[in-house]
Amino acid sequence: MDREKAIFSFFIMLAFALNVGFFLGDIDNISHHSSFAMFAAITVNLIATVLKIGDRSQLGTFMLSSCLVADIQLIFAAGYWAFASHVFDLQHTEYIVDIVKLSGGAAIATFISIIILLIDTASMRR
Amino acid sequence: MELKTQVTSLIMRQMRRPLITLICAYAISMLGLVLIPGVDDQNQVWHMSFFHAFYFVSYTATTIGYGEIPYALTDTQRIWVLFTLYMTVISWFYAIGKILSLVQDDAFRKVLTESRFYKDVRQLKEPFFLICGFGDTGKALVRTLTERHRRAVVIDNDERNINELVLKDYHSHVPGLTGNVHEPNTLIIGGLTLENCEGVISLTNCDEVNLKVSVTAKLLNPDTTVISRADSAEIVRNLESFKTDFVIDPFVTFADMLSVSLQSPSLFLLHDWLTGVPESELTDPPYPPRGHWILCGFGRFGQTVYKVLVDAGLDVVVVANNVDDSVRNHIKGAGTEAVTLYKADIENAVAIIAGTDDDSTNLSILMTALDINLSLFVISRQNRRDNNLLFESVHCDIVMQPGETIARKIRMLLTIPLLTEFMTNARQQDNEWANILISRLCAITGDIVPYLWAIEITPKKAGGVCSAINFGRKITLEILQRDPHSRDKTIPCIPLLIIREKEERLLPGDDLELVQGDKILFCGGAGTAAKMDWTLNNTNTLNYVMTGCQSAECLLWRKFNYYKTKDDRRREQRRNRKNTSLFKQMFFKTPNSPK
Repeated sequence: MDREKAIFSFFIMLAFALNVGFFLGDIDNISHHSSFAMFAAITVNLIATVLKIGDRSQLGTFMLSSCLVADIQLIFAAGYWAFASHVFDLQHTEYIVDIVKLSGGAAIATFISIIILLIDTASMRR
Repeated sequence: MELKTQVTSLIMRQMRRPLITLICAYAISMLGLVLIPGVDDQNQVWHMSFFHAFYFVSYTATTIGYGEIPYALTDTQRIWVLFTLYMTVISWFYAIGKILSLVQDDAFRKVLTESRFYKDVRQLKEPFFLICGFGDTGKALVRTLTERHRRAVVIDNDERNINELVLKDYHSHVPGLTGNVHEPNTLIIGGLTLENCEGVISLTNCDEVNLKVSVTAKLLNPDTTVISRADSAEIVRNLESFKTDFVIDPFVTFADMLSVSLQSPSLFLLHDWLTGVPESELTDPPYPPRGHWILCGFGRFGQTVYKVLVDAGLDVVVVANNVDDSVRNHIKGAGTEAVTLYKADIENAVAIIAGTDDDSTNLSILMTALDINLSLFVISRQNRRDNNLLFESVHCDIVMQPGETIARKIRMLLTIPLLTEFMTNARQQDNEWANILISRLCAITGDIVPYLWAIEITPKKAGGVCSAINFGRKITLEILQRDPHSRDKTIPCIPLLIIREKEERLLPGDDLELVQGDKILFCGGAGTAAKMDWTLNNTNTLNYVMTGCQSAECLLWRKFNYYKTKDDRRREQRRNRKNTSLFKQMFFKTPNSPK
């Protein structure tokens, strides 16, 4: 068993689960989308990204890039959330849609990462 | 750049742990701040948002500490913040400490300097020489190369030598790398396989390394010129076996020059002048006397010099411990003792050579010898450059420095290729011939070392002259020597050698007609080469130099001139159908103009 791989797959799947958890629900209903879920998703995603830094294998760099995509999407969503609620004082329904959409994109990026991970694991005949 | 990716990925891997610690510390702190209820200014229960939590943690973790914003904290919150503060600050210190230690990591720094060097070399657009070994010879060589506006790249295995590069103010930037030239990869990083790598020069102290460098260079880039230092005959043969372009043995080179100076002092002086650094002061030549010579030390240097001296018909006594009976006149013992020197009949000797491989011994020999006979002609071998001061105070007539000797020879080979051919031919001439040339040189440049340059009559390097020749004009050497500013004057230069289809001719006459493919070696004062370049390449200048008339440069003016002079030209054509001026032939190639 490869410990490094196991830890990474744990984090990437946790990130995916949290992300999907945040994403599910009515798109314009803020009570379906908890900010805690968002926070947890960002944190776990960042950890997963750092775990892939310095990986020289072909698939490793690919996973790193998809993790970075998810990071950018989520951090941008969080930043937008902070701006919308604190700076512009917008109504919930006005901005939550965009944030959920962004997190959906991040979920797809993380999902791709998981697929690559699956392929990588399956092709390993040990 | 396999090593580079390997090291950077290793470095990045080591950053994982501090980064994750930092992320976790931030996440835990923020979560706590958001979860623990606070009280706002109206005494209502208030929860920090993630935005505020991130703001709070950011300024706390970086020890900036703006205070309790936006509302004063409750004691529960303060307990949490206390915990947060230590956790985040410590993780920051951990991360920063790690970064600093990685930056100072030897392997990482090596990779950094290597990649900087790699880029530096590849940014060179001009042809350059790759010099392996930056010792005394390397330094002297790089100085002259850069003085002649040639580019050089240096590799040495001693870091101190490379660090010295920063302190030297060369005319152009010289990239340097501390590396092992044993490894082909180092040479490739140094640009061996690049197209503009003009030559590889191996100057290390170790014969095996020079051999390895030459082999590598010849294998990986067969087109490049390879010059190598070799200290023993065996290595010389080895190097020559795989077509190393030039193999330089410092002792043979020196002995060769000694033989020239014995044979014809003027020729030696000529060589000295032409290979010197331009614009430096001209020196007086040594005049080795004929008579009874004493040679101390019979190593590689001694043996080589001995042959030359015997060939020159001198009466030589060898003083050394290791000398065998094959030498006719020899005295066993060290030259440092007065007794042995007396045995060698030093009182009647005219010259002494201190040729051991130890500088202190050499100095001691000279001091003892001069004590007995002050009128001696003194030749000394100087092994280490930093002993310069000592050898200067002994007032030697000739000092043989291996480094300087090699550098001079390579300078001659690299900077003016035709000079080697010139010297080979000049060796056939007598002292009188050299004397005349020296007085001509003096008349031109005064008492400074002249500039040397070679021209080639090819469309690329002498466009104007070539097209004129193609039009059937006679271009003589004399025309090239006219001043492009006023044709009645000549520019101060002497054509030393002309090569035409492998036929070499010394000091060609002024009326020699040039043909395409000629290579000519000139010497002259500063700026002369640039003037001649005008005549060679610029058709208008050439036209002026030949005919004395200034032609129009722009198209409109030319057309105007054409119509204005049409009638004149017709008249002239009628007068002399064959002799149309070059000027018209070149610029008025209209269908009706006569060929």
